[in-house]
Order: sequence, then C-alpha cells, then structure tokens
Amino acid sequence: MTASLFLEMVINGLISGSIYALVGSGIALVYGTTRVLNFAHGELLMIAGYLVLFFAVTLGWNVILASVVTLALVGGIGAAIQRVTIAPLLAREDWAFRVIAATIGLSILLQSGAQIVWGEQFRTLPYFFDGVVSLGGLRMPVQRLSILVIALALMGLCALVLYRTGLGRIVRATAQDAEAALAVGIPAGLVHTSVFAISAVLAGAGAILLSPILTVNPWMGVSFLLKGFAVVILGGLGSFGGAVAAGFLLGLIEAASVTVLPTEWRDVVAFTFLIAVIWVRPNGLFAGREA
Amino acid sequence: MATHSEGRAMALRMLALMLVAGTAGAAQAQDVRIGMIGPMTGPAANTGTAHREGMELAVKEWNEGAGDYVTDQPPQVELVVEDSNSKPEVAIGAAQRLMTRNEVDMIVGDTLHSHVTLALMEMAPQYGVPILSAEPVSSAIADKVLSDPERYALYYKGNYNSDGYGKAVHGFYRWAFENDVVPEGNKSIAFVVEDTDYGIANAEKIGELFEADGWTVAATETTPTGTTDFYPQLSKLRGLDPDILVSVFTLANSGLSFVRQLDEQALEASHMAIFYPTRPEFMEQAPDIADGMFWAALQFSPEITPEHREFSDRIEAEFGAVANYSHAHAYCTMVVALRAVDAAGGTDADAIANEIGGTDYDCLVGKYAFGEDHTVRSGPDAIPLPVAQVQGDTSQIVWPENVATAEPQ
Repeated sequence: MTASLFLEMVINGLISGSIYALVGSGIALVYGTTRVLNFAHGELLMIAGYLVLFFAVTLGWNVILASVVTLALVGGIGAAIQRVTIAPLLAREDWAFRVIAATIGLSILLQSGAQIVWGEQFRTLPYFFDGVVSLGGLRMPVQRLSILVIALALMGLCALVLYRTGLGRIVRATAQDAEAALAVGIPAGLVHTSVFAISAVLAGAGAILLSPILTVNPWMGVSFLLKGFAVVILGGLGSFGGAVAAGFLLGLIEAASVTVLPTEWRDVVAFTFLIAVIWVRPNGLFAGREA
Repeated sequence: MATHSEGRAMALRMLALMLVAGTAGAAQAQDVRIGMIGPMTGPAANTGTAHREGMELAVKEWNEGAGDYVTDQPPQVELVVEDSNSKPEVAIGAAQRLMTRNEVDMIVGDTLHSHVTLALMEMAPQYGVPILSAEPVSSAIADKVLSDPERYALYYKGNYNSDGYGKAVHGFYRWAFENDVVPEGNKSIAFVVEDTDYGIANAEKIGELFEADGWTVAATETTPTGTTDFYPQLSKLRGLDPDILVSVFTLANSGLSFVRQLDEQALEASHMAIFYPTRPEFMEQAPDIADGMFWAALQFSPEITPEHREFSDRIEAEFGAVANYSHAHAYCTMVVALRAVDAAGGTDADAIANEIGGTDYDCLVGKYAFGEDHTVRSGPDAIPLPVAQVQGDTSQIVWPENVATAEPQ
C-alpha cells in the first residue's frame, strides 16, 4: 500500500468516524444525563435531512441559512419529544422499559410519517463545496473533507459548552444526581429537555453534513442508530468524550477492514472488535474517565 | 290461494333467475383473479410502482378487448396487488393472503427481487398455485428449479439468468478488445455490487467467463443495498488498478453516488454498469457524471425504438408517468401470464403452468420462451441484452454490432 492510499484510508475512516461520533455523542449525552436510551435518535437525523433538503433545494435558501434553521427546528423537535413522550414516563417508577418501548414506537411512527409526507424516493442534496483536493496520489473532494472539519468543530464546541460553561456544569450536576441538583435549585426537568435538544442538534448536524454524499430517505437513521449505540457502548455508556473517541476509532477500524478485506467483512470486523472490548472492558474503553 | 301460490312461485323463479343472471354476469366480468407481489413500499418502491403500472395496463387492455388473445373467448381478469416491501417474509405473508383470502388463480411475483423470489417460489408447491416471477435474474432460482423439477413444476421465472448479463458483458469486451475500443491492459477485473443474490450472482458469472480467458478478479466488493458512500471501496480499487470495473446496483441512488465518486476518484478502468442505468432518475443526471460509461442492458429505448415510443405514450396516457424498462418488462410478463391463462381454458394450475412453459411470444423486450429450467432464454433470438454507452444526453446501443445505433466513443 502506498503512503497516499494509506492516508486516504485514514481520512475516509476519520470522516465516517466523525459522523459516528456526532450520532454517538448525542446518544451518550442523553443517556449520561437522563439514563434514557433514545431509539428514535436516528429519526432526528432523518428529519434534519429532509428539512435541509426542503430549505436548501425546494425553497432555494442559502445553505448556511438552511442549515441554521434546520438545526433550530430539529433541536425543537428533540425537546418536544422529550417533553411529550419521555418526561411523562420518567415520572413513573417502572419507566425504564416503557421509555424503550415508547422511543421504538416513536421511531416507527416517524419513519412511516416520513414515508407518507416525503415519499419513498431517495434524495440527494447537491454538494455544498465543489472541487477535489489532489495531493500526490491522494484524491479527496472538498465536500468530504469539510465533513471532518465541521464535525470536529461542532463536537469541540459541544465539549466547550459541557466542560467550560455554567450550562455544562448544570448538565453534569444533573447527570451525577438529578434529585440533589433539584434540591439546590437546578431545574432538572428543563436540563433533561435541553440535553435532548442538544442531542438532536448533533444528529441534525450529522444529517446536514452527510446529505450531499449519502441520500435522504425515511430509513437513513436506522443504520446510524446501530452504529451510534455501538459507539456509546465502545466509549463507555454515557461518556461524551468516550463516544467521540469511539466514533473515530470505529470509523478507522471499518476503513482499515475495507482496505484489507472484502467489504462484506466490514461489519463483522467492527462488531467483533466491539464484542472483544465488552469482554475485556465491560464498561467500555473510556468509562470512568469523566465526571 | 292458487293465485297467491302462483305469485309466490313466480317471485321465487324470478329471484332464482336474478341470482343466476347475477352469477353469470359476475363470471363474465371476472373469470380469473391474478395476484401481483412487488415492492410497493420501501427503497425499491419506484420500480414496484412501474411494475404495477405496466401490469395494470396489460390487464386493462386485455379486459377491454385490446389484448393479444390466444382463444376467441378470453377470460376477464382481476388484478390484486400486494406489497413485498423488498422483504421475503413480507412477500410470503402477501402470497398467503392472496391465495387464501383472495383465492387468486395465479401469482406474478416477486416483480423485482431474486432474494424475495427464492422464498416466494416455495409457495407454488405448497398451495398449488402457479407463480411467475418478473424481473428477478439470479441463476440460483433456476438452479433450484433444476434441483427438483417436480417440486417447482408450477413456478416459472420471467427473466433470463445471471449468465445472460455475464455473456453480454464478456461478449462486449471481447469485441471491444478486438476492435481497440477498450485496451485489454493487465487482464484484471473488479466488481462493486450490492449484497443481494442479483448482485453477487452477476459478479460470479461475469468473473467466471473472464477468468476462463486468463483474467484475474482483483476484488469483489459487496455493499449493503442502498449504500451511497463508496469512497473506501474506490480508494482500495485505485490501488489495485483494475482494467475493467463492473458495478451492479438495483437502486438508482446507489448507482448515481457510485458513478459520481468514481469520477472524483479518477479511476482509469473501463466502467460497465449493470441495471441501474435503466432507471430514469439515474439517466436524468447521467449526462453530467456518466458520459462515455458502458452499461447493460439497454432493452427499452423510446428514443430510438418506435414500438417502445408507442408503449411509452400508452403508459403516459394511462398513468401520467414516463415509461421505463420496468414498465415494459412488467407489461410483457403479465401478457405472458394472461395468454397462458387464456390458452389453459380455465383456472387449473397444472394447465396454466404448462401453457407458461410452452410460451413462444414476441413482446416489447424480446421473445419470451422458457427453457427446461423454467427460465426465459436470453440471446439474440430470445431476449437480447445489448450493451449501451451514455453519449451526451442519450444512451446508444453499441453492441452487438447488428443492432448498434452508434459507434462507441
């Protein structure tokens, strides 16, 4: 393998990994704060894909404006899901299974709703950025490189908010002990809603970045949800930083697997690695390294 | 009293006559019920819709006296459509409903997927209902029939085997090498195909024919149906530097993404695309990204074939849709089924199956005749598989030479 192909493999892995990290970190954030596994998280990604398609293509808006409005709307939808579906169930003692069943049902509802509203066609956004970077033997479209750069920036911003701001401290305090946080005047319910909104925005960002190179369709969230859960388990349940690191790790493992073996082995290799990690470190690779 | 009894008897006779007349009327209006199973929802719903429209047009024309009949008293036909959602388990449920609830006399399905058909064909011996699949190609289906002809006596496959594509791709490239259309290079071929019986069987058959000529299969990359990110595969193939690259997808979006990314990666291999260029949504964007690409098989071309243009106009008039290959193939498959039912002279399953097996009928996409594997034959004297090339805004047939509409560029 030449150096340029190796570099290309690494970049491909980091690009896939950045999306896994965006999706996984959203799931981890919600789980870490509320102990809720949101099985409708992939559908937030799907809704964001359709929204940005509507604003940027159907209405012909500027891509940045379309993206900002999409993120605001999908954040609102995430918050609404928490208030309407999750919060009433969390008030019950036996909420754990009920929340799983409710979010699975919501996932099916949103997929079917998308089929009815937008149809079953696969749609693609035009590239946001034109051009191909060609260095020696390496060739990479600017659009793909932009995914990595923007995803890193978004996750950096999210980490900054989480670890360096008052809001972040409130979120982490609620994650540690919601009742104690409530006792010192932190509105835990509002924090839970905010976390769902932030998580939805992360999924939405993934959808906006992916839509030009993948396709927008009612089922686009399903495969990312599976990978998102894998990332959360790999990184350590509820660990934001762990999910980010695990996302990149999973992307790199998949890229290396495709380079060395036929593509059909990609998921076998990725999930074998996951099983091996769970066996050796049942709480994930980065569990216990965060507050 | 006598008058009252006579009146009652008359009323009963009239009631009986009305019932008989009603039954006779119903029999005349609907002699035969045919079920159709195809992907009406899910990722392949566009193709499923085209199948439904093609078959509905065939049945409509048949019922309105515009069919190509075998007998003087063709039956009236009702078409009942069920969804497979591209999933074998859903198709099995649909077939059970059609056979038990709707009491269909025959099923046409699956209309698209080989993996669905492999499950669905098992229903024919179980329920004693003839099944004719439409577009599925995988040779695994025909192999199954040959392994137990008695069991699958009621099943027929309305499309050629995977080796049909294999022979077309291999035959084209042999001709292209001899005529310096494509350089032979280091005799290395690679495949990127969807992870279905259709994709894998095509790669295997084409690979076998090239290997027999001393070629090497550099890689066979199978990706899940619906994949649209091929960068990891294309990066790998750029390192392997194959001379020919064959891609097989049933979804236009996979094909569009693949061709666009192939262009970005600047691979030098001669690219042969299978199936997805038949989809109109691919061809809409093809001029921008696929100029010069070879593909198989151009079996429906309203731009260059008057008969296809005329059929396309009928589809547009009936459904307001632009006709594509799937419309034409579904239409022909249904006509084959209708003629078999007509020739059988009733709804006896064995008689219908025998008539399907004895089909010898020219339709839009070629001549329908079945081999001993219950599969439609391919080739110049049966269903031809011409290789086309995207040239500007249209696709032109470039091989075989006797039907070519343009020189390869």
